[in-house]
Amino acid sequence: MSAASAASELVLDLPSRPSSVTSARHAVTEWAAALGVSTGDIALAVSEAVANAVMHAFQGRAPGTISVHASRNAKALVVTVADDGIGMTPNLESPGLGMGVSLISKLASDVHFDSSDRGTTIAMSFDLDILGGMG
Amino acid sequence: MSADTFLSFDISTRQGEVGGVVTVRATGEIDLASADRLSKALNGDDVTQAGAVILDLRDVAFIDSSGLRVLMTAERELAEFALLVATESPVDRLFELTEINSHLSVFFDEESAFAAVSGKAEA
Repeated sequence: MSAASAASELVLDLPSRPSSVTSARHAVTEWAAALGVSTGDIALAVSEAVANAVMHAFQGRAPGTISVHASRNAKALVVTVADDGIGMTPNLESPGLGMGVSLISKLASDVHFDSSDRGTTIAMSFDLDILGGMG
Repeated sequence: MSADTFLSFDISTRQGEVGGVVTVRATGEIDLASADRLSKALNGDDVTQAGAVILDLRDVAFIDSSGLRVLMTAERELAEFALLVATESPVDRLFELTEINSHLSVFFDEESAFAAVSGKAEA
């Protein structure tokens, strides 16, 4: 896929399992690469966001769905990772949650977390000025 | 690209001044789907019984915090443990972001890594 014919958005629904971390990362990386931008930080942020959902969103209940949406606007690529799990809780003892969130906050130009008992959504923006490419 | 995370290992031993230094060379991507494989590779008898271990991550194309947790565990559990990393690689980028270098022994060339651990390896 060339930059000229790159899809304007990417939509994925994935089961909550470890291999979905890989699937989501590969899909978003390929989508972003087709836009001609640097993909390393996006790949890491998506991996962390999906891994957090797989590890923490469905504790104590059946695995659900993780939805990934990527789009572009004039200034940024926006990648949203949403799950239909139990939501973030303030006192999670599960390892790794803090590191993932911290990494996402460093990697994305802007990040919003929205969590309730219906699930968690992480919306990450990556400035094109930083990513480069696209023209 | 498939959903499978490609990750493989080559394990070799080189004699240091006072004992064998095992090098585990990882190739591929390390994430939640593959971190267990890295953990198992580092928990094999040939690794845990070595006097010193070098984990060569220069051919790792991707790593996230799932892999980093395995590295931190190995640092705690292995007697002598050093990491070999390519500059400006995804591994280097993650280490920079997490400022983990102060907790791990990180080297950018093979001889420096070997020199750092080989003199400490027990016979």
